[in-house]
Amino acid sequence: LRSRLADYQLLGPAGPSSDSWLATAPARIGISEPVVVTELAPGDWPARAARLSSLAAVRSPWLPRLIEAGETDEEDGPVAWVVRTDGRAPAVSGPASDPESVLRGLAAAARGAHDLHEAGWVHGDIRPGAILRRGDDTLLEPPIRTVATPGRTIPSGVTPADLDPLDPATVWGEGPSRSSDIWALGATAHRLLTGTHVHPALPDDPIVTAVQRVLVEVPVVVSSLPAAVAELLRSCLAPDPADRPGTAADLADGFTRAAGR
Amino acid sequence: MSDRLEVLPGAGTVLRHGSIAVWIGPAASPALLSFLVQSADNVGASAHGGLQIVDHIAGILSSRDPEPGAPFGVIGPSGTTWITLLHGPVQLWDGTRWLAPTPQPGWLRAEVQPQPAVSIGASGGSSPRLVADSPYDLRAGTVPGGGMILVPGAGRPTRAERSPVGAGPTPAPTPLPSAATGPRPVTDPGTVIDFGTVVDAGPAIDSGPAIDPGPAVDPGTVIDFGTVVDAGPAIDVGTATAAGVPAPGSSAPPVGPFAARHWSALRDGTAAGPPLPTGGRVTPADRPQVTGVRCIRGHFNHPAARTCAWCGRAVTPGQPQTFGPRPVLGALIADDGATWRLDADQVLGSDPTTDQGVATGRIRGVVLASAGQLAPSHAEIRLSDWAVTLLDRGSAGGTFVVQPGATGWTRLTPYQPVVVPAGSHLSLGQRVLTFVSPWP
Repeated sequence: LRSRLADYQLLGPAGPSSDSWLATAPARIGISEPVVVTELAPGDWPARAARLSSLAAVRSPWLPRLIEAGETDEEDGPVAWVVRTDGRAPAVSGPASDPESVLRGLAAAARGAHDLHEAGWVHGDIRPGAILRRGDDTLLEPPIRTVATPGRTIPSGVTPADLDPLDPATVWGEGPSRSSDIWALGATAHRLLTGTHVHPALPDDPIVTAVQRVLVEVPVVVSSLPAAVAELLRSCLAPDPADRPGTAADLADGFTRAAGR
Repeated sequence: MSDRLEVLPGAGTVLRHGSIAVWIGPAASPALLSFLVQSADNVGASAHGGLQIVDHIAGILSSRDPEPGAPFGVIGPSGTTWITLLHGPVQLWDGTRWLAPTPQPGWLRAEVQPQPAVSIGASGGSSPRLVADSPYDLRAGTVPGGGMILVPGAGRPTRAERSPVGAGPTPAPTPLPSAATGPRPVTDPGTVIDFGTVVDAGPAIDSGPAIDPGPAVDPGTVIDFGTVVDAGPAIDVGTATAAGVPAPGSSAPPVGPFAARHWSALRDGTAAGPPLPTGGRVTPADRPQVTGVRCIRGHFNHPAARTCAWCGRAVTPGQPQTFGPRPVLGALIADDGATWRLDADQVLGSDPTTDQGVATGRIRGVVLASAGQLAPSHAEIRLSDWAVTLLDRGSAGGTFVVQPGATGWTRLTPYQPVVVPAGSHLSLGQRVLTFVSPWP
């Protein structure tokens, strides 16, 4: 395990299943609170830096701010990294004990996604671990990996849990879009509210079979959810993107209304 | 002397912020115009503003092209040269050669050396004339215009020492592509740059060695989006202090207590792009046209489809066949779950960027990691009508396929394309990929 990356002192994983690090920022950054460092494979630097810089221009109260990015030579070779302000993913276990609070958090995440969409970015990696908490606030993790590695619909080393929020239209259709992020928000909401996946019982091995199943399988919304919430999630998971909420902001309004019931 | 920017008559918009000049065609959306204005404003004061804005836009376009048909051209300085990004039906003349994105729609990033000036305008635009000592000069702002001529000022990178305006002979221009008609352009020494005839956006346009699709930054340099600076000497992590380290975003070298190969401040990122489109799925109209049938909701499907791949509704047998842009033909799923969409031809290998088609953006590269014998450009996927074909690029390790119902692997004959039906498994360099498709 690393203890340093560039001049950041790494404190530990940024979440229960996170591949990012909580870190102490060096004095030059001027931030006393912990920051989060995401490690990436090096490569394609000028274009990657340009994309990250454009992503950093998105101003949203529902997104952590990007601070800096770099490539450095570490003990085990060159490493690329991106640093953002704090915000950590809590562990997801069973059904939400406070569904109204979860729905309000999902509304915040959806508004973060909408701000990305309005700035021309698809998130492409919305999942339970991308819903972050910072104090009383809920934030959406910036799509650092998606932006750093464009063109790939599913990355290497995925698990069945990673596949659950995948809109088949991401693969069959014309790539990630507003509507595929809305699908992912719906699947993520289902996981956080019920503790279960919309593609239950995907096989771990071989992963190819799991990918094939999520591409053709109809997602399942559990019947124990309140009717209005279940209907909202089903609309997110509709096969035809035209049947889903038009924008993530519309979905955020739906989450907010559901939280107020 | 500062650069001079002459606005040409016609439809469109010309804008200038500092060293950045942009022409935008009338087909561009207000959101795209706003994006370009803001981006140019952000970097216009930088000596490397051209590199910054071009890489910024190229970064967005490499992920997604929101308006493939919108013509625009951006030019700005990059140290000792000029750099341009041309998008859509647009053309550039630098005094000796034409540049235009090919194929269309598409975009092109290139370095140029004004000889002695650069003109940018719509493909097929009228012939602009550069007049020495012209009083017309857009110093800053956004105005209507059908194109522009940029005349670098003294000290700017040009080849004016060889062909100054108003003095001395100018090198003969590179001949126009044979597909063009009418008189070829002639550069009148010092007075006129003649666009000549319509530029065909086909492959005959000079897109040769001057076009650099790769990174414009040498290894070892650092981008901070305020300037391009040298990384400076590496500092020992164990002994260096943070004292004297500049804040991110400053123009000073980011000499931190780490040996940076690259570094970029992000806190003051450049402008974000235009909003994503809303609504349902839309297949880009520039895809090859194929025959198919439509479901009751109008979704375009394979002619043999019985169920709509988009909405799941039944497709009534006997539906009349129509033409439409070809949808995604399926996906390749690797043995580690990594998945690639089959919406374009692809080269598979350990480093497909070495392939010229991949390097120029004509073909997509799929990088596979393998402990086996995997060539940099090992095999190729080609899409034709509704069919997916696999071709071995003469690799030493070979490419193998097992089709549905077959019992063993078959090695492909090099350079002999083979149609692979959905459900086929492909093997190269000890990696196995599965082709899946929603189509019959």
